Amino acid sequence: MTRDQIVDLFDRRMKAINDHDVEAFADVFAENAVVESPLGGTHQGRAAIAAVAGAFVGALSDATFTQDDLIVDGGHVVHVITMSGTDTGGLMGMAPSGRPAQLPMVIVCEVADGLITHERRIYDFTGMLVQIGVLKAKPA
Amino acid sequence: MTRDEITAMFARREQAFNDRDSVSLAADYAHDAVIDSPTVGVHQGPDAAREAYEAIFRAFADNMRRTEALVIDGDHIAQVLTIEGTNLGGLMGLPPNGKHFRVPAVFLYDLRDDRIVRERRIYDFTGMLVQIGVLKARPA
Repeated sequence: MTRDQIVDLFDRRMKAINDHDVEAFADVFAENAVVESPLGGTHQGRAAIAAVAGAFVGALSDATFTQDDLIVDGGHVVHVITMSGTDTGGLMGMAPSGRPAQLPMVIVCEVADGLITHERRIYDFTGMLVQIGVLKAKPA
Repeated sequence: MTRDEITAMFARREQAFNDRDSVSLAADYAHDAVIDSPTVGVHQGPDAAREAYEAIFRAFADNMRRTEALVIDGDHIAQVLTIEGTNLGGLMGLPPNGKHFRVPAVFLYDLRDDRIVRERRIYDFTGMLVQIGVLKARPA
Protein backbone atom coordinates (compact mmCIF):
# COMPACT_ATOMS: atom_id res chain seq x y z
CA MET A 1 0.00 0.00 0.00
CA THR A 2 1.16 3.54 -0.66
CA ARG A 3 1.35 6.11 2.09
CA ASP A 4 -1.68 7.90 0.61
CA GLN A 5 -3.68 4.67 0.68
CA ILE A 6 -2.70 4.10 4.31
CA VAL A 7 -3.60 7.67 5.27
CA ASP A 8 -6.97 7.20 3.57
CA LEU A 9 -7.54 3.90 5.39
CA PHE A 10 -6.92 5.53 8.78
CA ASP A 11 -9.05 8.53 7.84
CA ARG A 12 -11.89 6.08 7.20
CA ARG A 13 -11.17 4.31 10.50
CA MET A 14 -11.37 7.67 12.33
CA LYS A 15 -14.57 8.76 10.59
CA ALA A 16 -16.28 5.43 11.26
CA ILE A 17 -15.46 5.41 14.96
CA ASN A 18 -16.36 9.08 15.37
CA ASP A 19 -19.68 8.35 13.65
CA HIS A 20 -20.06 5.35 16.01
CA ASP A 21 -20.68 3.34 12.84
CA VAL A 22 -19.32 0.00 14.00
CA GLU A 23 -20.07 -1.78 10.71
CA ALA A 24 -18.08 0.80 8.74
CA PHE A 25 -15.40 0.56 11.43
CA ALA A 26 -15.19 -3.22 11.03
CA ASP A 27 -14.96 -2.81 7.25
CA VAL A 28 -11.47 -1.28 7.47
CA PHE A 29 -10.25 -4.63 8.87
CA ALA A 30 -9.50 -7.81 6.93
CA GLU A 31 -12.11 -10.51 7.37
CA ASN A 32 -9.84 -12.57 9.64
CA ALA A 33 -8.04 -9.63 11.30
CA VAL A 34 -6.87 -10.07 14.88
CA VAL A 35 -7.29 -7.27 17.43
CA GLU A 36 -5.64 -7.19 20.87
CA SER A 37 -7.60 -4.84 23.08
CA PRO A 38 -7.51 -4.16 26.85
CA LEU A 39 -11.32 -3.96 26.81
CA GLY A 40 -12.20 -6.81 24.44
CA GLY A 41 -9.18 -9.08 24.84
CA THR A 42 -7.84 -10.78 21.73
CA HIS A 43 -10.62 -11.14 19.19
CA GLN A 44 -10.78 -12.02 15.52
CA GLY A 45 -12.97 -11.18 12.56
CA ARG A 46 -15.21 -8.28 11.61
CA ALA A 47 -18.20 -9.40 13.67
CA ALA A 48 -16.16 -9.54 16.87
CA ILE A 49 -14.41 -6.26 16.05
CA ALA A 50 -17.77 -4.55 15.52
CA ALA A 51 -19.11 -6.02 18.77
CA VAL A 52 -16.19 -4.73 20.86
CA ALA A 53 -16.34 -1.30 19.22
CA GLY A 54 -20.08 -1.27 19.84
CA ALA A 55 -19.57 -2.05 23.53
CA PHE A 56 -17.15 0.88 23.79
CA VAL A 57 -19.24 3.52 22.02
CA GLY A 58 -22.37 2.14 23.66
CA ALA A 59 -20.83 2.81 27.05
CA LEU A 60 -19.30 6.18 26.14
CA SER A 61 -22.06 7.41 23.85
CA ASP A 62 -20.49 10.84 23.29
CA ALA A 63 -17.00 9.44 22.64
CA THR A 64 -14.91 11.41 20.19
CA PHE A 65 -11.50 10.56 18.83
CA THR A 66 -8.91 12.99 17.49
CA GLN A 67 -5.75 12.05 15.66
CA ASP A 68 -2.46 13.16 17.23
CA ASP A 69 -0.10 11.32 14.94
CA LEU A 70 0.20 8.71 12.20
CA ILE A 71 3.56 6.96 11.82
CA VAL A 72 3.89 4.85 8.67
CA ASP A 73 6.71 2.42 7.93
CA GLY A 74 5.79 0.14 5.04
CA GLY A 75 2.96 -2.04 6.30
CA HIS A 76 3.58 -1.08 9.92
CA VAL A 77 1.48 1.80 11.20
CA VAL A 78 1.22 3.48 14.60
CA HIS A 79 -1.86 5.63 15.06
CA VAL A 80 -1.85 7.97 18.07
CA ILE A 81 -5.24 9.32 19.07
CA THR A 82 -6.95 11.00 22.00
CA MET A 83 -10.31 9.70 23.23
CA SER A 84 -12.77 11.87 25.12
CA GLY A 85 -16.10 10.56 26.35
CA THR A 86 -18.57 10.12 29.17
CA ASP A 87 -19.79 6.90 30.75
CA THR A 88 -23.45 7.22 29.81
CA GLY A 89 -24.18 3.58 29.02
CA GLY A 90 -22.22 1.54 31.52
CA LEU A 91 -19.11 -0.55 30.87
CA MET A 92 -18.28 -4.10 31.94
CA GLY A 93 -21.68 -4.67 33.48
CA MET A 94 -21.62 -1.57 35.63
CA ALA A 95 -24.32 1.08 35.76
CA PRO A 96 -23.44 4.31 33.93
CA SER A 97 -21.59 6.73 36.16
CA GLY A 98 -21.92 9.91 34.09
CA ARG A 99 -18.21 10.49 34.60
CA PRO A 100 -15.94 11.70 31.79
CA ALA A 101 -12.65 10.26 30.63
CA GLN A 102 -9.96 11.60 28.37
CA LEU A 103 -6.79 9.75 27.49
CA PRO A 104 -4.25 9.12 24.73
CA MET A 105 -4.39 5.78 22.96
CA VAL A 106 -1.88 4.11 20.67
CA ILE A 107 -3.05 1.77 17.94
CA VAL A 108 -0.26 -0.44 16.54
CA CYS A 109 -1.30 -1.95 13.22
CA GLU A 110 -0.21 -4.15 10.36
CA VAL A 111 -1.85 -3.35 7.02
CA ALA A 112 -2.03 -5.23 3.73
CA ASP A 113 -4.19 -5.16 0.60
CA GLY A 114 -6.04 -2.05 1.71
CA LEU A 115 -7.05 -3.35 5.14
CA ILE A 116 -5.86 -3.69 8.73
CA THR A 117 -4.78 -7.28 9.35
CA HIS A 118 -3.60 -6.94 12.95
CA GLU A 119 -4.21 -4.27 15.57
CA ARG A 120 -2.94 -3.88 19.11
CA ARG A 121 -4.29 -1.12 21.38
CA ILE A 122 -2.07 0.28 24.14
CA TYR A 123 -3.29 2.89 26.60
CA ASP A 124 -3.89 3.55 30.28
CA PHE A 125 -6.89 1.23 30.41
CA THR A 126 -6.85 0.98 34.20
CA GLY A 127 -6.71 4.76 34.42
CA MET A 128 -9.70 5.02 32.10
CA LEU A 129 -11.68 2.63 34.33
CA VAL A 130 -10.80 4.77 37.33
CA GLN A 131 -11.77 7.98 35.51
CA ILE A 132 -15.21 6.66 34.60
CA GLY A 133 -15.73 5.04 37.99
CA VAL A 134 -15.71 1.35 37.06
CA LEU A 135 -12.75 0.97 39.43
CA LYS A 136 -11.98 2.84 42.60
CA ALA A 137 -8.30 3.41 43.31
CA LYS A 138 -6.62 4.67 46.45
CA PRO A 139 -3.04 4.86 47.69
CA ALA A 140 -1.88 1.58 49.19
CA MET B 1 19.63 9.98 10.17
CA THR B 2 19.39 6.86 8.04
CA ARG B 3 17.20 3.92 9.03
CA ASP B 4 20.31 1.92 9.93
CA GLU B 5 21.61 4.76 12.11
CA ILE B 6 18.26 5.06 13.89
CA THR B 7 18.05 1.30 14.41
CA ALA B 8 21.58 1.27 15.84
CA MET B 9 20.81 4.24 18.09
CA PHE B 10 17.78 2.53 19.61
CA ALA B 11 19.63 -0.77 20.07
CA ARG B 12 22.36 1.15 21.88
CA ARG B 13 19.79 2.97 24.01
CA GLU B 14 18.08 -0.27 25.02
CA GLN B 15 21.44 -1.69 26.10
CA ALA B 16 22.24 1.52 28.01
CA PHE B 17 18.88 1.37 29.78
CA ASN B 18 19.35 -2.25 30.76
CA ASP B 19 22.88 -1.36 31.96
CA ARG B 20 21.39 1.55 34.06
CA ASP B 21 23.65 3.96 32.15
CA SER B 22 21.79 7.23 32.73
CA VAL B 23 24.65 9.34 31.34
CA SER B 24 24.60 7.61 27.93
CA LEU B 25 20.81 7.74 27.79
CA ALA B 26 20.73 11.45 28.61
CA ALA B 27 23.38 12.30 26.02
CA ASP B 28 20.93 11.49 23.20
CA TYR B 29 18.59 14.39 24.12
CA ALA B 30 18.79 17.87 22.61
CA HIS B 31 19.14 20.72 25.10
CA ASP B 32 15.51 21.66 24.52
CA ALA B 33 14.12 18.11 24.35
CA VAL B 34 10.76 17.58 26.04
CA ILE B 35 10.10 14.19 27.60
CA ASP B 36 6.55 13.29 28.64
CA SER B 37 6.54 10.33 31.01
CA PRO B 38 3.65 9.06 33.13
CA THR B 39 6.07 7.90 35.83
CA VAL B 40 8.35 10.95 36.13
CA GLY B 41 6.24 13.66 34.51
CA VAL B 42 7.14 16.17 31.81
CA HIS B 43 10.80 17.21 31.93
CA GLN B 44 13.18 19.00 29.61
CA GLY B 45 16.78 18.61 28.51
CA PRO B 46 19.60 16.13 29.12
CA ASP B 47 20.20 16.98 32.79
CA ALA B 48 16.56 16.46 33.71
CA ALA B 49 16.51 13.28 31.60
CA ARG B 50 19.53 11.89 33.49
CA GLU B 51 17.93 12.68 36.86
CA ALA B 52 14.66 11.06 35.75
CA TYR B 53 16.45 7.89 34.61
CA GLU B 54 18.30 7.74 37.92
CA ALA B 55 15.01 8.07 39.81
CA ILE B 56 13.58 5.19 37.76
CA PHE B 57 16.64 3.04 38.41
CA ARG B 58 16.44 3.76 42.15
CA ALA B 59 12.81 2.65 42.24
CA PHE B 60 13.25 -0.35 39.93
CA ALA B 61 16.80 -1.64 40.20
CA ASP B 62 15.99 -4.49 37.81
CA ASN B 63 14.01 -2.36 35.34
CA MET B 64 14.24 -3.77 31.80
CA ARG B 65 13.05 -2.67 28.39
CA ARG B 66 12.61 -5.06 25.48
CA THR B 67 11.87 -3.57 22.08
CA GLU B 68 9.38 -5.52 20.00
CA ALA B 69 9.17 -3.22 17.00
CA LEU B 70 10.63 0.03 15.78
CA VAL B 71 8.38 1.92 13.36
CA ILE B 72 10.49 4.49 11.52
CA ASP B 73 8.88 7.27 9.49
CA GLY B 74 11.70 9.68 8.69
CA ASP B 75 12.62 11.42 11.96
CA HIS B 76 9.40 10.25 13.51
CA ILE B 77 9.68 6.98 15.41
CA ALA B 78 7.45 4.69 17.46
CA GLN B 79 9.11 2.12 19.70
CA VAL B 80 6.80 -0.72 20.72
CA LEU B 81 8.20 -2.39 23.79
CA THR B 82 7.62 -4.26 27.01
CA ILE B 83 8.82 -2.70 30.25
CA GLU B 84 9.10 -4.56 33.50
CA GLY B 85 10.68 -4.24 36.88
CA THR B 86 10.34 -4.78 40.60
CA ASN B 87 9.56 -2.18 43.24
CA LEU B 88 12.88 -2.57 45.07
CA GLY B 89 13.51 1.07 45.93
CA GLY B 90 10.11 2.54 46.67
CA LEU B 91 8.09 4.98 44.63
CA MET B 92 6.06 8.12 45.33
CA GLY B 93 7.12 8.20 48.97
CA LEU B 94 6.13 4.61 49.65
CA PRO B 95 8.60 1.97 50.81
CA PRO B 96 9.74 -0.84 48.49
CA ASN B 97 7.57 -3.94 48.50
CA GLY B 98 9.21 -6.33 46.04
CA LYS B 99 6.18 -6.35 43.73
CA HIS B 100 6.79 -6.83 40.02
CA PHE B 101 5.18 -5.14 37.02
CA ARG B 102 5.17 -5.81 33.31
CA VAL B 103 3.29 -3.66 30.79
CA PRO B 104 3.31 -3.14 27.04
CA ALA B 105 4.24 0.39 26.04
CA VAL B 106 4.74 2.67 23.08
CA PHE B 107 7.32 5.46 23.18
CA LEU B 108 7.06 8.13 20.47
CA TYR B 109 10.10 10.13 19.37
CA ASP B 110 10.97 13.08 17.18
CA LEU B 111 14.61 13.36 16.14
CA ARG B 112 16.61 16.38 14.95
CA ASP B 113 20.33 16.51 14.17
CA ASP B 114 20.93 13.04 15.63
CA ARG B 115 19.25 13.97 18.93
CA ILE B 116 15.87 13.30 20.49
CA VAL B 117 13.83 16.51 20.64
CA ARG B 118 10.56 15.00 21.87
CA GLU B 119 9.66 11.75 23.61
CA ARG B 120 6.19 10.71 24.72
CA ARG B 121 5.62 7.47 26.63
CA ILE B 122 2.21 5.80 26.65
CA TYR B 123 1.30 2.69 28.65
CA ASP B 124 -1.10 1.47 31.32
CA PHE B 125 0.51 3.60 34.03
CA THR B 126 -2.36 3.17 36.48
CA GLY B 127 -2.23 -0.59 35.95
CA MET B 128 1.50 -0.47 36.63
CA LEU B 129 0.90 1.36 39.94
CA VAL B 130 -1.63 -1.31 40.91
CA GLN B 131 0.77 -4.12 39.96
CA ILE B 132 3.57 -2.70 42.13
CA GLY B 133 1.25 -1.96 45.03
CA VAL B 134 1.40 1.85 45.00
CA LEU B 135 -2.34 1.94 44.30
CA LYS B 136 -5.09 -0.41 45.36
CA ALA B 137 -7.99 -0.77 42.94
CA ARG B 138 -11.33 -2.47 43.41
CA PRO B 139 -14.63 -2.51 41.54
CA ALA B 140 -16.72 0.56 42.31
